[in-house]
Parts: sequence; C-alpha cells; structure tokens
Amino acid sequence: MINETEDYKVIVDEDGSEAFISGIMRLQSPSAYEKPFEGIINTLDKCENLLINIEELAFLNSSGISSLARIVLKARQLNVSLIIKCKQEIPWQEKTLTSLAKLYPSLEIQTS
Amino acid sequence: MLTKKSPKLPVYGIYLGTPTRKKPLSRVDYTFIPIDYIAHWSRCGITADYLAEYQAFNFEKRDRVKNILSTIINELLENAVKFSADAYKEISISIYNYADTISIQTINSTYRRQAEHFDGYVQKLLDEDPEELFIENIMKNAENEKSASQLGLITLVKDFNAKIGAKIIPDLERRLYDIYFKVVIDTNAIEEL
Repeated sequence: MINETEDYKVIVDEDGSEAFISGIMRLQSPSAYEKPFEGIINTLDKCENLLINIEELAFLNSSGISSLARIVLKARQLNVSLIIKCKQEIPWQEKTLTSLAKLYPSLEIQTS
Repeated sequence: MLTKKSPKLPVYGIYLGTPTRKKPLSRVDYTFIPIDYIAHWSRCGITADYLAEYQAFNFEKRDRVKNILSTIINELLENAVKFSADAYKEISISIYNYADTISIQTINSTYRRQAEHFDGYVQKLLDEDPEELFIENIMKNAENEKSASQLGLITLVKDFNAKIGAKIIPDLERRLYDIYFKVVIDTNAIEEL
C-alpha cells in the first residue's frame, strides 16, 4: 500500500511487516495524518511484528508526532513488537522516539 | 495570569529579564498574513526552511543546524497561523543572531479564549518537566482528537533546550490579544543537540 504526495511517501509492504515513511510531513492537524497513516494503523491489526523505517523522513511536525504516538499506543494495546528505524543525522528523530518509548517500553529504536 | 480583573499583564520566562543591548550579527524580520498560509499550508515549511538555511551559514554542521532551526521555526509559524484571530492581520517573525544565542520571536493576534488557553499552557511549560508534559499531552490527544496536538512548544523545550518567553498584550479596541512568543537557542550547543 502506497500513499504518496509530492512531499512524502508512506509505504506498507505486501506482507505488512515493514513500513517506510519518507520525505517531509508537515500536515495541518493530527486528523490530516489519518489517511497517510491508515495503512500502518490497519496493518497493526494483522501483524505480530512491525518495523517502521523513518530514516528518510526529514521533518515531522508536532501533529505528525501526535499521530506517530497513536501508532505506538496501538502497537502497545495489541502487543505488537514494534521497531522504529531512525537516522542519527536527523536530530528530531531519536529525541522524539526516545520520548515515545516511554509510552511503550518494548518499542525498539534502531539508529543508523 | 490573564484574568478580566487583573491589572498585571501576563509576561513570562525570558521576557522578564533585561533586554540585551548587544547588536545582532544578523537580523531578519519577516511579516505575512495568515490567509496565504491557510490557503497553502506548506508555506509554513517553505518559510521555515528558508529562514533556517539563512542562519545555518554561520555553523560548521550546516545540515544539522538547518534541520533543528527549521523544526523550531516551523512549529512557531504553524502555531501563529493556527491561532490567529484575523486571517488578514499580520503575523511577524524576527530572528536575531547574537553569536552566542539565536533568538526567534513571533507575534500574532488572537481571541480572548485562545489567549487564556495559551496563558495557562505557557505557565505549565515553564513550571513542569517537559518530558512529563509531552507524555501527558500525548495521552490526552489519544483520548480526544484535536485540531492541534499541543506538543509543538513542548518539543522545542524538551528536544532543543530552548529557553522560552511569552507576553500577552490586550488590544482593547479590537477585543483581541497580541501574543508575543520568543525562543532562545544556545548557538554553542546547537551543533551537538
């Protein structure tokens, strides 16, 4: 499943075990993220493990952070083993994920 | 505290200190009307990227500093646009580089209700642990979908050690409130953030 605009791309692979979020996501409100994140939210109902790769996501605004937190909370609720892969060169990524890990201590952060 | 009877203007954080007399190394003042940004939301990001890149020339780790400054400026611009009462009343953003610090100030005008909400929000942000406040607001957002995440300013303090200040000035004639919000970043530390 691919959700793509000229600014960003959200891909969930066919077997639903890996998702990629890339580009720039600075949408107007948390509700504006519902559609692009729909595939990830839905795949959580069907998988036991999910890896989300955000290494190529240059920016995510606070509405997006709130929406990413919803994904983490849903993974916690369904006990899905969640890994988020981020990049050390993009300062907000690790900082945000370290805070989100407080919501779901078994969230694994992989930094490249 | 912003109350109808209080004669004291709400002034918080870094606005309470003595204003610097130092001349800035660089200064950019930019004004726009919110309607342009409401019509094309990505203009917040475009403006933030431009202003961040302008400042990043002074740093060795240019890409890293640009990403940090753009993140900060974008949150400030998005807030100023979202919470402006009049789509045609100017918003201004000023960025001053004083060598050891970068100061970013936005001014926008808003309704009383929003000004009161902002007043309480800023006080919480100054008084409480930003990490705890971040988690608290995420849990609130998860229970109740809102048009704004209420996380932007918290992340500036939590992730980038930003010093903040706010002033709320009533415009009695127009029954609006001018919101001044300032963020100060330590330039010696920014490359290591």
